[in-house]
Amino acid sequence: MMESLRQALHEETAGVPALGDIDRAIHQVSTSRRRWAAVIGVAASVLVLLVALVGPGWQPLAVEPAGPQPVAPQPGPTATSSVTPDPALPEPATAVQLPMVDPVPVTPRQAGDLTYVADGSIVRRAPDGTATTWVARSALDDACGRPDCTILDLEWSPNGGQLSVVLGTIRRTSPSQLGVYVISDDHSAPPRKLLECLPAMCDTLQGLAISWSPDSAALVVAGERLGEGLVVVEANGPAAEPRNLCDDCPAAAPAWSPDGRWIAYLSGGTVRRISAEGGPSELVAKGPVQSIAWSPDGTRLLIGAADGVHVLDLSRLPFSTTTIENVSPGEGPSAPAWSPDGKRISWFSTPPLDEGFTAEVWTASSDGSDPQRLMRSGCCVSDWSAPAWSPDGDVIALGLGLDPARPPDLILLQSGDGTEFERVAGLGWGPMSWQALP
Amino acid sequence: MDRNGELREFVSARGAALSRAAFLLTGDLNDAEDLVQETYVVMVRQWRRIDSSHPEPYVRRIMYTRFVDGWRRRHLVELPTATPSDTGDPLDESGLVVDRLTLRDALLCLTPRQRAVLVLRFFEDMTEAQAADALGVGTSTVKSQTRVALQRLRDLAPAAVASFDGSAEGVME
Repeated sequence: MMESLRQALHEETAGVPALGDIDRAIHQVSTSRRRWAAVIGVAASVLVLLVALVGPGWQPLAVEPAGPQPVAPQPGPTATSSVTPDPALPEPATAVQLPMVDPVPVTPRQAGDLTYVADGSIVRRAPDGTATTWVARSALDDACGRPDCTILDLEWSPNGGQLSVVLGTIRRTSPSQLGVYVISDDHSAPPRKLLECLPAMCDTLQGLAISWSPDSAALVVAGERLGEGLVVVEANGPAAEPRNLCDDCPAAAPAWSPDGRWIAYLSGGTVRRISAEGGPSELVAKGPVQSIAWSPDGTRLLIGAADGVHVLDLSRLPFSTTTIENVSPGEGPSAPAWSPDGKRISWFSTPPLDEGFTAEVWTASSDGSDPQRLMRSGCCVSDWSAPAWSPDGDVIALGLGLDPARPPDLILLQSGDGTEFERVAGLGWGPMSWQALP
Repeated sequence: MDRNGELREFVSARGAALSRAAFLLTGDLNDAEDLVQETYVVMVRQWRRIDSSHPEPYVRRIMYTRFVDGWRRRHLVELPTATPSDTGDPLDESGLVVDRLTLRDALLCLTPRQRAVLVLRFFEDMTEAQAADALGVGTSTVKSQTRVALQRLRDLAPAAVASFDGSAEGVME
């Protein structure tokens, strides 16, 4: 059979032409590097000038470059948790002289509506369980200006006053057409476009990642994967020009710190941070890192990496790291998140089975103790969306599909014991976001 | 030769093979083009770190890991586009064409990693160790995924597998 399978596979590809365009890839990368070199050149000139003015006693900030490192998969079919004080990954960047961070008071919030996407429209599910279409697909198409736009991300502002939406069309061979829009809580006006995707950010196949400032006044936007650039756009008042923090740096998954001073982001698998006002970026942790989330008090970063979940304490130097290993053997955890009070963390994992993957939702104390598996699905998970804590911390919502022929279900779990108390069948894949109320 | 010359020479020599593998992985020409283009961008960025005298293993690893990881990162479902059909007599000339279509459908019903393992082992003619290196997993994973993938192929497309075997009762290796 093997020889015949080999032959059949080759026959299957007999008419496939050479795909891809190397010259386009070269042009894209060199354009990016030229811009970056120009920025570095200006920065170096300023530094030389400063050294000349201040004198030899002054030392420039030392930032240790870190490249991606190979990750050995964790063997074992079941998830167990342990705490180790000295993780191999991610490695805190000890060479960086990061200032201390001050804790931000964590204010209890009430859960507002859970907002999600169904049939291309935005739906709000009230705390009493009633769901209504809030923004119809036609209104989104009108805002987008094209009939084939899809919603790629949703995120409520911290004050619950506006919903940000990443809306547009992912292009296969030309720059994607994406925009960031906001819709006020009362939906008194059509979706308002804040930002059109910059070419380098959305070159091809890029989504946009967004994060609100803690005062709900602005959003930071970056490419989702290979995007370049980190842009801040004001969310209120008349349209303003976006402010480039680093306009051609490879940046993804930005996260605005709760104290409003910093923006953490991923770059080449490492965690970096940059002042919300701009300036040089600093290496925070080496990778490879897949996702980051600030603790509600702003003193810790939750880091998802292939080898587990890491909690990086930034409140003192040197940083200390708590690692919860083997959370998802061989696959790595996804979507690590903080509970609203910052006492617990959650993550999603897809442990492999012989015939596919199953899905699990875990929580643990932020020090890695008391791990609890809230949910384990049957086989085989075909689609999912990231679990999201309700602002009051009582509920975790996620999308999950086990049948490739059917859209995923929306599942609501009690965060304390994992009891599933509601399931909406056939929700369809899409992002979701909880509205927080004072 | 300068870097761009090396890149163009590599793509000229191996681009078609990468494209064919990408097509088997994705099952769609547009998706395959996306995967190859993404791979090229990463390759250009990383070219200084790549052994330019023997870049293919590194580039292949970029492509396969992006494909497998993409399933989790994008949260996008890869839906099988068709239910394997009853192809009738596998010895029928027209039936053979249908068998090949059915094989592709069956491949799309596998998980990305299972598909990647089959393509690496039986299209790229790699050893288990080479396939493991390309995917960044252990050889035991390659073994188990190969076994499961082949069994799923047999379940999903028995007629197609029978045509490979020459017998519907052919032994799964």
